[in-house]
Amino acid sequence: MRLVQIVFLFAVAALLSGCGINNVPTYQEAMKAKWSDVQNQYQRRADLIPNLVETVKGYAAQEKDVLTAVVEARAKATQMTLPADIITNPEAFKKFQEAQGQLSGALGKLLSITEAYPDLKSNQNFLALQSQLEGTENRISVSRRDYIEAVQVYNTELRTIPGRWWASWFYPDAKPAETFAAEPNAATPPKVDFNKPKV
Amino acid sequence: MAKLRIILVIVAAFWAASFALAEPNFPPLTAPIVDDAGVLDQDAITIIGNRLRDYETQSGHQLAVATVRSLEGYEIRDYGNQLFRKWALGDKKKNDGVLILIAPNEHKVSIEVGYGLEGDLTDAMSRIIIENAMVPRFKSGDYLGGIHAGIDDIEKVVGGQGDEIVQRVDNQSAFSNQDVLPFIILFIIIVFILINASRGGRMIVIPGGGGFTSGNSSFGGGGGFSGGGGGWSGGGGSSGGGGASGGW
Repeated sequence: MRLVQIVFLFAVAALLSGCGINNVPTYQEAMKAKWSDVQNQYQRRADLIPNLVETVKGYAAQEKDVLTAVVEARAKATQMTLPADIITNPEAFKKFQEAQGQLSGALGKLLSITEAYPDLKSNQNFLALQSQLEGTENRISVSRRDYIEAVQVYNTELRTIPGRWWASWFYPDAKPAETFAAEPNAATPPKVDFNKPKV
Repeated sequence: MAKLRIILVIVAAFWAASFALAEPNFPPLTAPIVDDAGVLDQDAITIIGNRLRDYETQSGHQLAVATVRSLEGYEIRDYGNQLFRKWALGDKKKNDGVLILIAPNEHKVSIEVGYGLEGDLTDAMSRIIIENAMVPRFKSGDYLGGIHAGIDDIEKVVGGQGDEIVQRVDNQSAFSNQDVLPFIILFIIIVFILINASRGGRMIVIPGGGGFTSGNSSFGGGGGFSGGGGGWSGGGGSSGGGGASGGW
């Protein structure tokens, strides 16, 4: 009798997982993984900045305002404490996005002023940093896109049937996640143009 | 009424899902080289295709080349990354694919690198390859030469000979300077001295070292057309946006 019961239980479990009872936590985990990737890429960008600033300073120290703006924006973005629930916390999420957007803007300005310094532009170290920064911006946009897609899957599951039923019965804590809004500035990474004639 | 709302929600969800899938019209992956833009002739396509297939069997890395008619308004890196993932280049576990994407109409080129090769074929290295091996040739309309040179360099870098390329670039830039004149003068002086010396009866052998690197388009032996020319497909690899781009 016991055996029959156990078998029955397993059968029910299998049946249920077939109709998506596990989808909410599965998608949630996938989304979290994508989110940590987004954070990693932003961190990677922040790590590149001190070196970049030092290099630029060596050739264009008079561009104090632009350099300080970058340093400050970086400090603001990295010193921000992110709450654990940031992806379901609209306010914190918005702050994160704003801070990173500001840093993108400051970096864009920094790269655009470097055009005026041919010595800097032919410095090997600067060129390497510049291409690393460009690559990182590209990785950021790729990871953002991945995250947006994961959120879309997760939120859709939460808001549609049967996912909505499963969520209300089994995962009452599951909240729809925040996603990136396309900012006019952040959406297009600072353009690093290597094609200008290198005097 | 409630029913209507549910239907609406479901419709909205499908709508959202279809948006998520919105992507450029990618050319299908039929061979390691897909010349959607039509800048290569049939022989060139066969030669490059065979070369890339050989490379895959030798090294295990999937290297693909694509030319596209249009980027459809996308940034080339964005288009390239999406195409890389669509084609799923490289081994599924090693993610060791590389894609060379050329948009002749937009005058853009990019190298997209799978996760697994990011350590070898770095962003900086990709940029060096684009700027030095590919862009100058594309500028003069030599797509075949540029593609071959790009593949040469990528193979070298992935094979651990990246230093060679950096050095070659350094040499080139050293010689493209105006500083070359003193060297020419010095060379002429040396030649004169040598001529004088040999007239004086002493034989001096000049070591054969004209350091000119040739165009190095190593065409992978004509023949050997693989019969049937069957399809080619990606191994399930992915890319997180490694690589670089350039334009002309």
